[in-house]
Amino acid sequence: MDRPSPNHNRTLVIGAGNVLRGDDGVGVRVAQALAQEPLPEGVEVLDVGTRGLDLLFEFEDADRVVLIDAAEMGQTPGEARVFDAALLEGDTDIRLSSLHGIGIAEVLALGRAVGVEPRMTIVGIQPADLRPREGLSETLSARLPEYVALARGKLAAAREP
Amino acid sequence: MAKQDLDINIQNVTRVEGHGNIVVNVKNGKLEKCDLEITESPRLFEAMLVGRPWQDAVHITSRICGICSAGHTNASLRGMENAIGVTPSEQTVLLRRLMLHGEHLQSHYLHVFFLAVPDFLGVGSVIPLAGTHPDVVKMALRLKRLGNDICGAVGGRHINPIALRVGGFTKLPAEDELAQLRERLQASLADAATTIEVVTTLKLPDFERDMEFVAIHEPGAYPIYKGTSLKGTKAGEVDEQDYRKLINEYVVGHSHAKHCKTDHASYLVGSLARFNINYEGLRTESKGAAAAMGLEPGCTNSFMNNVAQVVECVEFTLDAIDLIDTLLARGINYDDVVTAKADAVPWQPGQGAAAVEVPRGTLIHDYTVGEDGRITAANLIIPTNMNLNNIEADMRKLVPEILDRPQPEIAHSLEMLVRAYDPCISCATHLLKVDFV
Repeated sequence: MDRPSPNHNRTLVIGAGNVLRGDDGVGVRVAQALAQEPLPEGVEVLDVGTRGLDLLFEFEDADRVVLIDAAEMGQTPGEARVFDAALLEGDTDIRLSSLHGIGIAEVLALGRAVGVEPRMTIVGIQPADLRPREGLSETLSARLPEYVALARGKLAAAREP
Repeated sequence: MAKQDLDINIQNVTRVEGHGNIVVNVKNGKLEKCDLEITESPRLFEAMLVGRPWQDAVHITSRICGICSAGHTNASLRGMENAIGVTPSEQTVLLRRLMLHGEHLQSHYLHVFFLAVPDFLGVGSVIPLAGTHPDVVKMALRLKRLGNDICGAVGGRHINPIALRVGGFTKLPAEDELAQLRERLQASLADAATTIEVVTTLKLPDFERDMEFVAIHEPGAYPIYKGTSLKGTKAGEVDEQDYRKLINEYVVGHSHAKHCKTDHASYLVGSLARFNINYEGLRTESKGAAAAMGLEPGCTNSFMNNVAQVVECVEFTLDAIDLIDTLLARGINYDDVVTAKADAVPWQPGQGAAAVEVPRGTLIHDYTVGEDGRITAANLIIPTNMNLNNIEADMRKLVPEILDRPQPEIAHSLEMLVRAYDPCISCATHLLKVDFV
């Protein structure tokens, strides 16, 4: 397949979320904006939408990951925070009734169990409005360039050895 | 039966926002409440589609679900093509069918190994399974990845495929890429055999309920992309354009999702329905796999849906190999592409629907397009909405039968039942949860 082999010096920028649920799609919007910019060699931007387990295969092929996603962090809507994957609340004992229940926290837990653990930085953005619609709320829309710049900065940091 | 009280409320069994609560109340041995509460509203997506150019439908609907993206893509393309009078080429149809197989394979294998097997092996979930049975989990991931790679090769990229449009493809897969997939599909038959061995050892609950099954049908075939009719085992056959004659949608109080029934009652869609309706169209190898796992046509045990999925894995692997052979024998015609421009294909206003089989069952997309090329009406019926009514009917029969067992065991049986259907709660948000300390 057309994938770099594992251990390739690959940095993955992942935008996650449901673009049909307002601000839930903010990660995807940031990724789409980043993808329009010139990026260093070995950096790949991925819009993963609401894919769950498929992320594991992407992690498998990457040694560094910058993940951008809407996050419930108890912050003011629109605030962005950078944090470590260890802070994610997720049930490591995945008792699922549906494959649709596999989120990023679950993928990370499974990754640990099968030995897929890229270095990960998460850019979380506190949503303002999650009602079903395409497009972001005014609050987040106005701050989109800020999120893109923040992700770009983390990308540069992630590239450092 | 002992007259006892039972109060089960399994919150957020799906753990994605969007709910999926199982609520069961029994008083003095009498079942008072038995609901599966689901917040799932394709109606919201229908509203989003109205007023948009017809070209947008496939992009919006392919985002409805992260697992059934190829299914929504194909239902949307066929529904729209029926609405505006577009006929895709034979090569286009072959490739779409191949992609649909990829999606079924990745979803089915994952369902069996991530949702069903941990229950039966008593390890709770797939995480401890990775510790106790690492080879099984690695095999499941390998099979899942093969399905993904098929979708990626045909769809132009692995996630959120972009090459599929009304009328055809914007980009076609390389022949050597298809040849490589064929080799991997062939090799995966050994994993399929292992899967059959694993499933054969699982003791599925004895549970029978006379029920109706619905799937697309074609005599002598096992259709998933297109059938000659939409068939109910009791309600009979209709043309897919007349799906409303077979399926009645209605709203219930305890769930945001629309429920469905035929004129007879609730019905089941998905692998077990397809198996029961189209058994004659299966390959000998697939029939053999069914027999090895104790699945016979006419089965009315919903828990056996998992087994029917494994039968389909054999069938779809072999069919995908045949499709690639056909494509390679013909040679890919790289001139058979459409551009991404809005006026890429000639079209006319109109209305049309399509019924496509996706991993969880029949998916219907119905569009009306006006003179100005904008969508004036859309109706999407997803498999989970059809199954909800049937899951509740199963629960209402199952609970009294196992009421003498300890409450945790009853709750676990209900969870297993819901898992057998793998309900889709696609429109949910997928928010991360973080607690800064």
